[in-house]
Amino acid sequence: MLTITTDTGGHWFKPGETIEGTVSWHLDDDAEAVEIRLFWYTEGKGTQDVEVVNEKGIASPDRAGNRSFRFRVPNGPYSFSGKLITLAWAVELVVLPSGETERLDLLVGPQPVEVELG
Amino acid sequence: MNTSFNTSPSAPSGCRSLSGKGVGTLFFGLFFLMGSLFVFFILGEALRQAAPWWWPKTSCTIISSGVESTGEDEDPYRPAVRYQYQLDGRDFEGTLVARGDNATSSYDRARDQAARYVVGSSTTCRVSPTHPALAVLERRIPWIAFAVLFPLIFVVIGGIGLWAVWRGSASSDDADSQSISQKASKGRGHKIALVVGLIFGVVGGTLFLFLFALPAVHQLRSMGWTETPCTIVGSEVRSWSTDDGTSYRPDVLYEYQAGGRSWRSNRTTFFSALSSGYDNARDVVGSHPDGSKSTCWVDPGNPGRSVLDRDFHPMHLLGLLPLIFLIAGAALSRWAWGQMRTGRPSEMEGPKDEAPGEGPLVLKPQVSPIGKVLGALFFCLFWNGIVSVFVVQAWKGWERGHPDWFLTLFLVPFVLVGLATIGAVGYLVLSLANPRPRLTLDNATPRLGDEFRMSWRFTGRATRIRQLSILLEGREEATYQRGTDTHTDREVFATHTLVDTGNDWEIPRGAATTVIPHDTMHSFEGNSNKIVWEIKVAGVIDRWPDVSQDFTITIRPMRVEDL
Amino acid sequence: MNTDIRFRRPADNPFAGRRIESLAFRSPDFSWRRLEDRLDSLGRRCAIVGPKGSGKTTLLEAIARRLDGPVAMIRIPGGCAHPWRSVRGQLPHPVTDGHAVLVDGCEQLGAIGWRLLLRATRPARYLVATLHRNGVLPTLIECSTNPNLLRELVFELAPAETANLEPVFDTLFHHHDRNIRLCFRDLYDVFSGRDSRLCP
Repeated sequence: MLTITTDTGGHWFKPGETIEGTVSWHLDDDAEAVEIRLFWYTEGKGTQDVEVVNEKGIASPDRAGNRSFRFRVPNGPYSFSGKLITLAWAVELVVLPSGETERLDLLVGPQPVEVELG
Repeated sequence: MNTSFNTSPSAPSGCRSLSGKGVGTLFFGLFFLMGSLFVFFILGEALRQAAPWWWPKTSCTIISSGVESTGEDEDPYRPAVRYQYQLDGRDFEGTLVARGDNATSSYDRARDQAARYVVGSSTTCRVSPTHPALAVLERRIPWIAFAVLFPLIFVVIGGIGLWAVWRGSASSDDADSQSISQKASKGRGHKIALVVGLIFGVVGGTLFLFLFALPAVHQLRSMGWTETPCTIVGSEVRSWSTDDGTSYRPDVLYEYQAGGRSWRSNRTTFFSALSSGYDNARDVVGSHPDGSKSTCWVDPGNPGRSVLDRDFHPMHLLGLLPLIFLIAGAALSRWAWGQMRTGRPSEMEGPKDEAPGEGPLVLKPQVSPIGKVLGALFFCLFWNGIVSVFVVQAWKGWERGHPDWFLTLFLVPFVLVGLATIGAVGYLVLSLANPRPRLTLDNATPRLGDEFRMSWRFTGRATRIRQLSILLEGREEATYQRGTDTHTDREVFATHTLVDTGNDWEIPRGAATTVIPHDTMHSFEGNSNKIVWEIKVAGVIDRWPDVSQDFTITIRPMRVEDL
Repeated sequence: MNTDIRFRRPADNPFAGRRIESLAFRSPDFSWRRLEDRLDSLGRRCAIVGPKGSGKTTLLEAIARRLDGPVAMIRIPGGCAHPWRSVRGQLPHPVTDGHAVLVDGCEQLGAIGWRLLLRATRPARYLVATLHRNGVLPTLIECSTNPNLLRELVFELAPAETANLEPVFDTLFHHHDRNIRLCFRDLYDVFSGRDSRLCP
């Protein structure tokens, strides 16, 4: 079982702010590593783009554990939705090599709603 | 039936059969083993050469010093120095200058090494604590250790391959639980590109340095050397086997008088590192036969340095070839570094505001008018070139009175397209004579919420423009696969009119201001998805192709302090 | 058609790229067991045949995921000026008997290109290509589409809206010449509000 939580409990972060939170895991098998990643991705009509902006890895973790993380949010890109493209931000906790994943969706931008185009 | 499909739909998709692992282990294991073997041998030799650094020193007396022939063609000369030393009351005689191979192809190098040890003089030598009969005069840096980099590549490839074969693999058939961030490959690809670029750059730079740059510098310096008569005391073509065949080199040993003594050297040219081939080696030897008289050039500040031929030959330009690797490697590294630095702050770094500098900027059009003409012309020639072959064939049929109706009818749409391309080229050629807009932004990279001031000026006859409109447009671009085709969809989400005028005093030049909304999206570029902002200039000209040019601009996110 | 299909965020659009790509291949009477048996019986050198948008690429990618060992997935871009060069640049060097080579877009290869491909992939344990029609390699499976398949896939992607779209399935299907992928692209535009032509 994997969990991700932010210290504030919120999901909206302005560019330049710091995302602080905690991840925890309870695994059935041993893992080589767990990684915490801050990234943005697109969805829509086009082929998906993904970019990992920050990441933190924990090598040879115990089967159960937790770790805090701190990531600075870059200036952009903002979360937005148009007619062809949605760009969203998230923090993922990934167990390697099994690929077991937990994701916490976030919103990055000047306002607490994603930018709407058109 | 022997099949290596994974027949269980719920089994991990990365499951590998034993045979697959066996092949992979054998393949990469071989790489790893061979690489490790060479690493072991090279490091062993390096340690052997470095051992005298820890040997105790003792004083010794030089008995003889000179240059001897090794009997080998590849490195025919060696410094021959004999020295005497005492240890624990016993006398020993040593002949080693240093550990490792002291043979060299350069007579000068062997001579200079030996010249450091004058007969009858006292110096120190290093004696092996376990074998007193083994001693050296010099401790050298084991440069051979750097050769370990080459087999290390095989060790790394083999190691990574073995790890990849035996590690478990990520799997899940449930799309919802799959990691999205795992799909990101940009960073890793760029890291590989950076390493490859650096390797190319270092190798190219090193080769360029030793094959061209340094020899060229020496050659230039030799222009101030003194012309001196010399006698050829030995002249032959040396040959030795290499991995890719046989290598040749002219070895012309000559003797001359300078600084009150006699010197010998075999430096025929400063560019000796470039392989000459048998014919050239034979020609050089032929023009300097044994016993003949010739002329050499001697360094007045160091009479031991000389050269037989200080002329520049076209063959020396081969030394420039490694520049290609240096430039390509540097360009690749620079690009990869730039890509890696974009948007990848470390965990605790602040957001980077990658402003190239604010200030006026003159915009360049997306596609220049000439570019449009050349592109259209290329397509027109290509299309009509192919179609014309069949048109000629069909025409000949009509001429003979035996028309091929099928071919004729089949060609009709192709000919129509061809005529349209000719028309398009004509239209674009005419548009070359159009007035051209030159746009300047007051702020090179405006931000969301900023006041946006743009000025324009037309070159050419702007008075021909009847109506001018300049728009600021924002649009989404999404690229996707349609089978094996790639297609890009576009959707305009914002249009701001900056200029829309028919007044002839306003058209040739002017300025416009608008405010970029703060609640829209800044410029963004992914591999397949983009937000593009453009300034679109449209000028209507009666009975002539219109002015139409687009200029891409970058609109940045708001300043963090302004949020 | 009911015109109350709301504007959707691209990420929520049931016909967004990611959702289309995650659709599993399907065909009447299709089973993996039968496919694998046929693959073996054809000497593991065969072709998936079908018109554009009939699922050839989807099936090829599914086969790639199920194969053990190294898989070389090669795509010849549409309208490629030098298809063989494109293939050669993507082939592993060397091609070993451990490799499975899957090539998408082989209808663009000419006779010489085919000869070169077959020679280069001779050691490979698998060669599976996609083609628009039967040709050089024996046919592993013929992919075909029909309006019911379109209905089935649309129901999987947008179960709540399938009834609304019922009047347009046949029109859409035949307008795009049985190319289901193009039907999806149009449906994306409908659900995003970009295209209202399909709305009465």
